[in-house]
Amino acid sequence: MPANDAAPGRAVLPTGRPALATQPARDLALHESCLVLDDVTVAYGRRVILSHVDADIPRSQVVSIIGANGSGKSTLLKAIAGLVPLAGGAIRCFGEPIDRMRRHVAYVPQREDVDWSFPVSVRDVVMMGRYPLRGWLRRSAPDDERAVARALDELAIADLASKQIGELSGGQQRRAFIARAIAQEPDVILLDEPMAGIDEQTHDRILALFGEWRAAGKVVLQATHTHVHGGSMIVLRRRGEPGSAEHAEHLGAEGGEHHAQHEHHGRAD
Amino acid sequence: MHSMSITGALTDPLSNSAFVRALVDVSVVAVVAGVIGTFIVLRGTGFLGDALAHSIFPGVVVAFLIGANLLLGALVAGLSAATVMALLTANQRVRDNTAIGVIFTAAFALGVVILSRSDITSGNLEEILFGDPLSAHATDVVLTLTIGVAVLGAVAALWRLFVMAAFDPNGARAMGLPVLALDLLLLALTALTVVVAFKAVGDILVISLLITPAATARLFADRLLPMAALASALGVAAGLAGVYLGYHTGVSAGGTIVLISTAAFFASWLFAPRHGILVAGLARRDRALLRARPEAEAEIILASPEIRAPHEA
Ligand SMILES: Nc1ncnc2c1ncn2[C@@H]1O[C@H](COP(=O)(O)OP(=O)(O)O)[C@@H](O)[C@H]1O
Ligand SMILES: [Mg+2]
Repeated sequence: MPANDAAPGRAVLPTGRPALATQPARDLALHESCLVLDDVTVAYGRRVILSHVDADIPRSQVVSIIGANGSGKSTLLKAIAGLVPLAGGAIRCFGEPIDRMRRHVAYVPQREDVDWSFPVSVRDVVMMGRYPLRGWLRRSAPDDERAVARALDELAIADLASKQIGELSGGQQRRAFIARAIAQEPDVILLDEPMAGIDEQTHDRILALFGEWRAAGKVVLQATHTHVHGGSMIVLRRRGEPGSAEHAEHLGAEGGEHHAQHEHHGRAD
Repeated sequence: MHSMSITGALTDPLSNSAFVRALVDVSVVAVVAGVIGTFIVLRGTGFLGDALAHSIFPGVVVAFLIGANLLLGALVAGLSAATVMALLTANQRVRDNTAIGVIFTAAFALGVVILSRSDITSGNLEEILFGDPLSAHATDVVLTLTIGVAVLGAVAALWRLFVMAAFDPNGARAMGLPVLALDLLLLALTALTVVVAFKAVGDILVISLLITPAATARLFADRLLPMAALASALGVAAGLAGVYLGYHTGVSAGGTIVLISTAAFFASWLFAPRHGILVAGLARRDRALLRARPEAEAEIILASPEIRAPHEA
């Protein structure tokens, strides 16, 4: 196939915020730029999915990554999570290369990516969120037990804690993974279609949690088909597919200082 | 044929030091294989274990030809194969690379070719291919114990990291867990397990010792630690039975161990309390279920009068 067939998508998320270069790089609480995508290009082999994506996301943001199936939402999240190597550019978290900040990044995978028959309990899964905090080789302390109990409570799955993870319904499994993210006490939370196939109650619970996370200064990035009201967006479009001007308009009307533009060239096949 | 009491059949051989060595050797191997096999079964990397088993064959053959300890030959070949596999898969998930299973089976062919040029007896060949725990030397047992303890120690130390990497490798990597390094370590531990197991059941049957007890345990256990413990226990039981049967009847102990393990697997597949197909099938017809209180209730609301609710006249 011709090389330009794989022409990449371009996503820009300008911040419109004056540069603030005076903050000490190591002070996470004061650091303004929580997550920076700097000219990021992602490819599977020779197949370029996204290229030259720039975004500078400050603290206290809920960013929806919106786009059709196959437009690269999961790919972008996986690139940030370090699951797909970058073909170009860099991702920084609080000014550091994100690879050094993994412990501060939680990732909630798409449902299809998990082996649900695996013999672990819901509590085991949530406890996994504590490992990076505690140190990989340390035993769990009473602290960790309490944090896990809190996270289970927060998502109302405490009564399911000792069930095998596969015994839960889809929405309950989603809650378990989000509880793991809570237990990790991260600054950046990446969720791949967290709202897919869940009931209204779970949906509202997750939405409320996004609000709490935002209020606590964290950054939430979710691949989704339904944009969170008042949140920022990164719109991905497969090359050759109709644009979603309404998204851009919607954002413009909101007058938010963060908005996403996207000249799209995602690959169409 | 011996004619003796059951107790006698169990205790008399214990005065034979070769027999005792076989018991120790097989038990250690079964415990280690049960634990490593649990991870192999859960990750679906059985093909890697099989490939490793095949690739130690030329090492064993060469060790035999130059008169060295077979276990040492297997050790060198197994670790070399694991290293080459690691290099070949350095930039991707080990389990994604099924081609490895094919490539390393070719090592077996290499062993066959070397053999065809030598004057090995069929008895020796049988021992290599199908195992003979009753011929284990003291050195073999010491090596098996040393390697076995090292493998178990490594797994125990890194237990929850192995669990996390196996359950949700993406989530684990996103948190910063070095999943690739753990994959490679598991590969090396598998190689070591194959090396110590080959003496007990032979090169061809090693994979069965790794996978069958773990697959059986999976039908019973919903947690990892019980699964590993049960796999080890099942392996030890089959191992001991095989050694006794081999001792008393002269049939191949290695082959017997594998057959007993496999029989246990099929019996469990049918009768395991929760996941056995027969038991699950019978439970479905249990009338007591009709009287039990359900967790959910169904209310039928119909918009169209043409459609009747079930059981409505
Ligand atoms: N592991 C992979 N190897 C090759 N191509 C991939 C892989 N994963 C995804 N793709 C391709 O990348 C594109 C974007 O996929 P993805 O990010 O999963 O889309 P989305 O999550 O928006 O539905 C699709 O065309 C898909 O076929
Ligand atoms: Mg996706």
